[in-house]
Amino acid sequence: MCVDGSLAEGLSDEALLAGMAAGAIGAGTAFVRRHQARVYGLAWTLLGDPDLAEDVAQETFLRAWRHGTDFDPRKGSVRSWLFRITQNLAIDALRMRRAEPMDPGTLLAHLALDDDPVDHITRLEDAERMRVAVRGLPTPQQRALVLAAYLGRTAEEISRIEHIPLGTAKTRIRAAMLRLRATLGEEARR
Amino acid sequence: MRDTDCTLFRELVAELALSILTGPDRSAALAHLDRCARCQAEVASLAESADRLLGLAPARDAPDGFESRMTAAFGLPPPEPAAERRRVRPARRDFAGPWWRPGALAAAVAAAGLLCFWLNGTITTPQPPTYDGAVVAALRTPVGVPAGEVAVTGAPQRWLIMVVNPNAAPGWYHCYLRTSGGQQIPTGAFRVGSDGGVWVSRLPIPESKLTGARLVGPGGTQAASATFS
Repeated sequence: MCVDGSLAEGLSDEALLAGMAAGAIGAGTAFVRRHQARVYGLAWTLLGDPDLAEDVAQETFLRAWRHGTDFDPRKGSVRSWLFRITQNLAIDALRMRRAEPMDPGTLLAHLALDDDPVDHITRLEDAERMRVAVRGLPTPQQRALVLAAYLGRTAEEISRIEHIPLGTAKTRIRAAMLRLRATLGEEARR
Repeated sequence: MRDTDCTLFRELVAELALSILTGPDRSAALAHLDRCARCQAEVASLAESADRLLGLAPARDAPDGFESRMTAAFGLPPPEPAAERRRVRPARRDFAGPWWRPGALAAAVAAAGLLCFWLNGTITTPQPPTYDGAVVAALRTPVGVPAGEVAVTGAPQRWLIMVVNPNAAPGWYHCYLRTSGGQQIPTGAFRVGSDGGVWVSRLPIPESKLTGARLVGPGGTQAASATFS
């Protein structure tokens, strides 16, 4: 099977992934070309180490290639699926190294400063809505959210990192997520 | 947690959506979720927000050669540069299924050889490169069981290719190269799954100084080593 390079670039993420998993020449290359900046960027953001980020990005695409047939579009987009793989691998790498998690303040700064020049308009709007929603959270909730959503820290771990009671950590995570969703819902209705 | 107790579930729903809920709380939450469509919708809605959060991470250009290394890892011919891409690209070969089981290293070396050829080549009609310069060594566990293979492709572009067999313990493996001067050079880390693993990296030292490779597996154990003759 062969997918011409120029043709492959016009295909949807789902079609490229299916083609890649089926062994279509051109699909794998186009898939990597389309997502590498995002996947590597997420790994770099989570790890702060370019070499380890490259290893994680490489493994992410190998996983996508090996397990592309397992992807279920009812559970979300290809991009979200790739991000989840990247995040899980990065968290594994951090835990294996017993590395201190990146300071949530630093991670927040990375997220807020990015103006995402490579993405197209609709995603820019979506990302900007999300940024506004995160910025609108109180700082303690932002930090708990970043530790949980990006670095996979449990409420118990967050309570230790932030020197707060477990109940407070749980409340911050929950309040942040509910408020985030509410803000996004309001923005979408405008 | 009682099956009907959505109020208690709501205390845990954010952590469940973020995949950070563990232990008995997670078991109880999942048991409740099985029977409550309303809470399933609640989790799905919050999980969507969590997914969108990951999309905030800034895009970054991957290191030079990343795309080519991935192509080599897939066992595909190298990509053409965007500026030189042709409209019609003839099929070169098909591949299907995991290639690292039979003839894994040969495929990897072939792909990397093509890659080297492409990176350095100036001719427009691809010809099969030769791989006479590739150096291959068997990876063996400390008790001598075959664990995979490691290869270094021929000059001028030196690539290190590591193939770990499916029977290896899943997890992250760190690669160290041994030099003739007795140094151990940390070269990178890669993940091995239940179906094995493959990793491609630039050779960070001159090939003439390379005497062997060592893999440190999950938990810091000595997983395997190889010696280049």
